[in-house]
Amino acid sequence: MKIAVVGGGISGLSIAWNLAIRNEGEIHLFEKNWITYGSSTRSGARFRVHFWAEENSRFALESIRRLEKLARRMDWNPIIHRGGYLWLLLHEQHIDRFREANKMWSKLGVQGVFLDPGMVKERYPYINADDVLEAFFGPQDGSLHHDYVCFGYYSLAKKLGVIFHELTPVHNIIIENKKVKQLKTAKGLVDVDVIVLSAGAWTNELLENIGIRLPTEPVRKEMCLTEPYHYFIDPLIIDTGSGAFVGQTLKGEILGSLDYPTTPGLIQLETKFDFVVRWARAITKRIPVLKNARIMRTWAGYYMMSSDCSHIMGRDPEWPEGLYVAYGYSGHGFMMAPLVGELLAENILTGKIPELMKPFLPTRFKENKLIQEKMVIG
Amino acid sequence: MDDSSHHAQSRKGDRVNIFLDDLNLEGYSLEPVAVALYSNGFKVIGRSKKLYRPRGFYSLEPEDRLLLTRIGDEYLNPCEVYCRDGQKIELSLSTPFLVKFFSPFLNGYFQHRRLLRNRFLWRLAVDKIRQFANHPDIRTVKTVKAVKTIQLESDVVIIGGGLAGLTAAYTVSQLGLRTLLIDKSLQLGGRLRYDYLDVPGISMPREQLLENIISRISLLKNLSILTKTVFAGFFEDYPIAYSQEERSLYILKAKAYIIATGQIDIPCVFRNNDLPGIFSGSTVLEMVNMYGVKPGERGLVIGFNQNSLRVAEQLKQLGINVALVDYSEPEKIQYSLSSIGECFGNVEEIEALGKTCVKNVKIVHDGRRDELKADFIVCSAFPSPDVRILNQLNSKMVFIDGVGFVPVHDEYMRLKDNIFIAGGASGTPYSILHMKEGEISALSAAYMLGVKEAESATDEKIREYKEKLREMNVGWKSVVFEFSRGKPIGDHVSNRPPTLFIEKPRKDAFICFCEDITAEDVSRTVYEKGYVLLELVKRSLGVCTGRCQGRLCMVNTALYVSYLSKLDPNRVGLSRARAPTTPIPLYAFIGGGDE
Repeated sequence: MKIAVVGGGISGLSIAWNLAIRNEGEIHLFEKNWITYGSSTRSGARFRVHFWAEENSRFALESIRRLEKLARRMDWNPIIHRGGYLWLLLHEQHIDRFREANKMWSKLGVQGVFLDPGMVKERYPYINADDVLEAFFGPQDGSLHHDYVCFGYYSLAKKLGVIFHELTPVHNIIIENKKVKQLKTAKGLVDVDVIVLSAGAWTNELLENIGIRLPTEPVRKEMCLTEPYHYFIDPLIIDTGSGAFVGQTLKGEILGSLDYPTTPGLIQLETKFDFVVRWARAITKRIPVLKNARIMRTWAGYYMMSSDCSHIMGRDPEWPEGLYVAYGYSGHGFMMAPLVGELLAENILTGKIPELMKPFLPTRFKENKLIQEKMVIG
Repeated sequence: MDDSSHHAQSRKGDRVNIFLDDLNLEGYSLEPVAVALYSNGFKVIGRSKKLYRPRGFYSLEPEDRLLLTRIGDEYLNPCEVYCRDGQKIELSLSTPFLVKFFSPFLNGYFQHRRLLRNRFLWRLAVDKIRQFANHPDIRTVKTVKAVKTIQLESDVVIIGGGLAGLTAAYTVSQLGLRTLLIDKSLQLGGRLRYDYLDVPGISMPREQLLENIISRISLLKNLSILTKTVFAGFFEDYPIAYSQEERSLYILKAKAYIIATGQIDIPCVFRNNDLPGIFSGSTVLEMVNMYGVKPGERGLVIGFNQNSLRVAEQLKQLGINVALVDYSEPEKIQYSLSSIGECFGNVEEIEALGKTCVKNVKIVHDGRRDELKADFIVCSAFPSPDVRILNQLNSKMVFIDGVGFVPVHDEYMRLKDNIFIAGGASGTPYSILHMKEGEISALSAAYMLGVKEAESATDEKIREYKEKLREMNVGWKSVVFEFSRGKPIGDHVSNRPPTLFIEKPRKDAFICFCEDITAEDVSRTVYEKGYVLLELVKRSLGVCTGRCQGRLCMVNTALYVSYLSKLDPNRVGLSRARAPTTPIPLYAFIGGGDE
């Protein structure tokens, strides 16, 4: 069997490696630029297990465990650090929402504590908590190094014989007798039995060429990074009032972003001065000592948003045989991809659909079985 | 040559007292703090981030923020802040014992060691890495200065006030367009101000030329000038500029931009190349000619080229002995080298000796080892265009042998859309060509903005310019013009980089100063990890991600990777830079500082 994975970001890499360890067939990975190019290398490099939807929380919990175990096998350190997420809640309805979700989380083993403003000030003296009614702290959430995770998967996959085609864009999928036949790439036609589309924000172009439409669209997100400073912000702090978040990387840089409206679509990956101004205003109000921090770099990347803010994996039985997708992560790629790779590989090679994967099938949109997820940060 | 202009300069500005911890030191109001400290014998002004190596300053450019020093109650770049009476400076120079003990293991890949990938040891390590990374503690800075946000509208913005930028500014304003000239220094002039030798191809003496241009532009009513202001890059909505001294953030709105940011002397890669007392060529000239501070008693100048010879000659005229070294053979240079100083060709390896600053230099040449007396080193082997703004614009860069990475532009000096380029930023050697390019870029910009009389003048100027290119043997420029018309870029061989003076990858030869990345780290990336695209090398090592944002390390890394992998430098490529091109404090973005 010849399997082609399209896309060399975290999702494609995880799928390719998981296919390779099952040791069946020949695996090719096509990437139009270089490994990690696209949304993986532009990631904010955080992971969480707190989601509004139980399916997502359960999935992320398992997924991060996979990644942590894998760290020992990789020759790159994924720099996983569970510094926690701290949600600052400013409105009663947010608090109710968190209390409600917390019941579900504790059932799953996802921990969390509510902190009153006094405790916030005590634990995080640098936060201006005057207008904070309550805060929620999730200790299992944290950060990782997006590039190292990808490089780790890349070298593991390479060792197992995955054939990488970098700088090779895929233009089209050729179908014959309701079955995938060939990939039309920049280096010519390639015969394949199975195609996994995992090209993030660029997946829709390929799907639309063969008449498949899923409710997904890329949305540009911008980020700011300051010069490195002595480490003091351990959790990722989310201001639910302004929608801004801020955290500190292990290198000491302070990183953050906020909900900033842009037109959906594959627009230029540039950043706006206006965005930086808004983030600066929001974040210095919350953490006044950051006024003296200096912005060193800004960048933009896409969240590939699905209509229910959850990833899409697997296939629709009505699609041409051999066609699978894994995309639409809605900003949760690094949290979900380690497990997506494992489950999808199993699905492709055995035909069985694992229990955890069932809610995320592409058929959920036409069957109207959407996942109730609206928690997207940034 | 006019001898009178070569006397040692006196110090600039009023004498002031600055305080280093409790020590009262002499400074001058128009010189940067770093220069004042150096003149007082304090060469070490900080320690590096990871290895706590003693560091001084390599260049005086405000964007090369290699070190931050506590000045007053802020952490600032001592090369950017000028001395003020009563100014308090604190240096923290101690090294934690744990770092001393572990420093032999702290290479660029230390965190990937198998031992540290153990979940429990990693938790411990994270704690220590955070604690011992040598970064300023932002929480100790209490005061916030008000910054004015100012919107500036004009027809043309010119970035850089050297020979090319000044000429462009003059030409554009003369055509009646509203012009804004931005320069990062205290005074306009760029190289023309600190390099006392005449400009090749221009018969008028340097001093007269400078005076001439400055007096001519000062008469123009439609030209505004911002000095001490750094152009900070193109955001999607607006380009911005920032002045630390003036505490102003400028939002620029213009119809055309001319980039005339000049060249950078790329640091040379040799053993202990991060010691205090190692400078770029332009920095040494600024020190002696602008600030009247001698870098040392006897220096080593690396490079046999126009720029390095100009540096060596001016040092010699001030009574500072110099030796010249380079990898090439001395015969290739027309100048009579021996009149300047001792000269060593075929130098394969250089090692700076000294614990906290350069005391001596060891060189390996023609199979021989020599120890030379030198208390400072000048890196002038490779002037390269300042690529950051160009990279940020995603303009096509092409590697030209002996010149470096050059932005592809046509003979109208157009880079793309409404952006033009002139002078050293386009790779052109310092000469009358900078003036010609300044004129052409200005005329092209004016023509684009609908100034009719610019059209006929442009063709005439381009003819003159092409003649000068031939006269001065700058043949590669016409190749660049052809690339702009779509000629495919051919294959290059990967030669030894002109900045490389180590025979094997050493772990005391630094490529990136911000992140303490060494030649050994880069070679491991290429050989062990197999990454040869600069974008991937950057991501695996962290080069080009420090405070200087790749200004000093990007070209070196690309060329070294190309040399090690034997791959065409054009295929290794450069990495994309992002706005802002220099770090700007958040308080400047908040606004509300309008007075």
